[in-house]
Amino acid sequence: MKLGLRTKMIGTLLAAILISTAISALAARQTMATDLNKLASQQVTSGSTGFAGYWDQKKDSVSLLVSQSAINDAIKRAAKSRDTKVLETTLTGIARQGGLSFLTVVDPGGRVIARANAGAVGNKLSSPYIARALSGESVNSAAVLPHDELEPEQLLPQIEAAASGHEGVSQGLALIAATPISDENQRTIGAVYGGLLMNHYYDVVDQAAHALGGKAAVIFGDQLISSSISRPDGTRLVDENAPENLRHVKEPYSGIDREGSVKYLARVEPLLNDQNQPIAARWFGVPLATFTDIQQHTVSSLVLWGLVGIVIGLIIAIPVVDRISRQLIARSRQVRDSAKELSLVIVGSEVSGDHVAQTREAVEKQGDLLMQAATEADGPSSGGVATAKGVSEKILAASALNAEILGDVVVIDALATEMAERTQQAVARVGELNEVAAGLNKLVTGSK
Amino acid sequence: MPDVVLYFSSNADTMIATKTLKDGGVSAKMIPKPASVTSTANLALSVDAAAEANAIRVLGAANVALGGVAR
Repeated sequence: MKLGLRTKMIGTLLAAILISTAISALAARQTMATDLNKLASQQVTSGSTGFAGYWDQKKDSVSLLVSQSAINDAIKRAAKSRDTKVLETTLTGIARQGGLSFLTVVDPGGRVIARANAGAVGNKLSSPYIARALSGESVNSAAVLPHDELEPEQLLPQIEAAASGHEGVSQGLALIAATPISDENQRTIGAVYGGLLMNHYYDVVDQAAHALGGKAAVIFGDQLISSSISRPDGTRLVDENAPENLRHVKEPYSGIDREGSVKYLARVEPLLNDQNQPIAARWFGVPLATFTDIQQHTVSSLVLWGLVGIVIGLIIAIPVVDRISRQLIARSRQVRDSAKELSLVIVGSEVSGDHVAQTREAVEKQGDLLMQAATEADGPSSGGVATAKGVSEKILAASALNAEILGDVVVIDALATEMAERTQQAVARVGELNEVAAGLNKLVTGSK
Repeated sequence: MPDVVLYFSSNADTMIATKTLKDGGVSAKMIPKPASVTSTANLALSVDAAAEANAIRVLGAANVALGGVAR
C-alpha cells in the first residue's frame, strides 16, 4: 500500500501518541496494581487490627463492669447474706447500664445466688472460668458458652437464626469475665460472672466498620454470627455459612473472599480464648471494587487524556505537516521541471549529434557523386566510354542530396537555436536545483 | 512507400520524439516543418509510411504528444 508523505507523517505521529498512551496506561495499570495491592493489603491489615482493637475494648469493658460489680458493696453484702432479691435488682441495673448479656453471682461452691435476668438459682455452674474466679483469679476472655449455660441465662433466643430457613449455631460466643468477691478479710465469698453474647450482637462490627471504612464480621463455628456485611437486598448478612477455608482458621488469612455477592479483600484472624486456643474468627474486608475502581478510573483517565493528546497533536501537527508537505511538493515540482529541462538538453544534444552525423554522411555522399561526375566528364582512363547521361544522373543525384543537405542545415540551425535557448534555461535550472538543495537542507536541519 | 510527416507542438517535443523513435527502433528523420503543416514548431519528423503505425504506437507508449500526421 502506497501512502503519501502527509499520511505517513500524521500516521507516525498518531502511532507515536497511541503507543505512548498505551504504554503509559499499561505501565500505570501495572504500577498501580502493584502499589494498590500493597496499599489494599495494608489497609485491610490495619482495618483488621482496628477491629481487634474494638473487640478488645469491648472485652475490657466487660471485664471492668464485672470487676466493679465484684467490689460493689451492695453486691458484697448481698452475696455474703445470700440475699437473692437484692442481688438480682443490683445485677439487673448494672447489666442493663453496662450492656451485658448476663451477670451472675455464685457462692464459694459455684452455686448461683442470683442472676441479672432473674433466672433459676441454686444450681451449680460448671464453667471453668467460675472455678478459676473462685480460686482467686480474675478471668477475662472470649469464650464458648455451651447450651446448658445459655439456657438458664435465657440467651438461647439470641443464638437462634434470625431468618427462617437458616439453621443457627448451637453454642454461643461471648466475651466473659469472672472475678472473685472478697469480704473485708480478703476471703473469697463468691464470684461474679458476666459476659456479652456476641451472636447477633452488632455494636462491635458496626463500630469497627464505620470507623475503619470496611466491613466486619465474626465467624463462629461454620457461620457468620455477626456482621456489618449487607446482602444484595440490603439486609444484614448473618447466619450464613462462612467459606470453608475461613472456618476454624488457626493462622491469619489474607485474600479475596466473596460475601453477599460482593468480592472483598479480606483478612481473617483467629479469635483466641485466654488459653490461646482459636475458638472463632474475626473477619475484616474492604470491597475489592474500591481498589479496582481506582485502577479502572486511572486507566480510563489516561486513555481519555491520550485521546485529548491525539486531538491536540493533530491540531498542531496537521498545519505543520501541511506546510512541510507543500514545501516538499513545491521543491519536488522544481526538481521534476529542472530534470525535464536538463534531460531535454541531453536529448537535444544526442539528436543534434545524430543529425549532424546524418548531414555529414549526406555531404560526403554528395561529394562522392560530384567527384564521380567530374571524373567521368574528364573521360574514362581505363578505356571505358563515358556518357553524358551517366554524368547527368550523378549531378541530379548530387542536386537531390544538396536539397536534403539544405533541409538538414535548416534543421541544424533550428536545433542550434533551440539548444541555445535550452542551454540557457538549463543553466537557470541548475541554479534552481541548488536553491532546492538549500531549501531541503534548511527544511531538514533548520539551517542553510 | 512515400514518407509521412509527424509534427508536434514544439521543437522540444520533436527532439524528444526523435529520441523516442530511435530508442523504439523506428527510423525517423528530422526535417524542417513543411509549409502545408500548421504547427508552432518549425521542425517535424519524416518516417516511412509503412512505419507510421509503429511510430505512433511507440510515441503513445512514451506519452509523447503527437500534434498530427501529414501525408
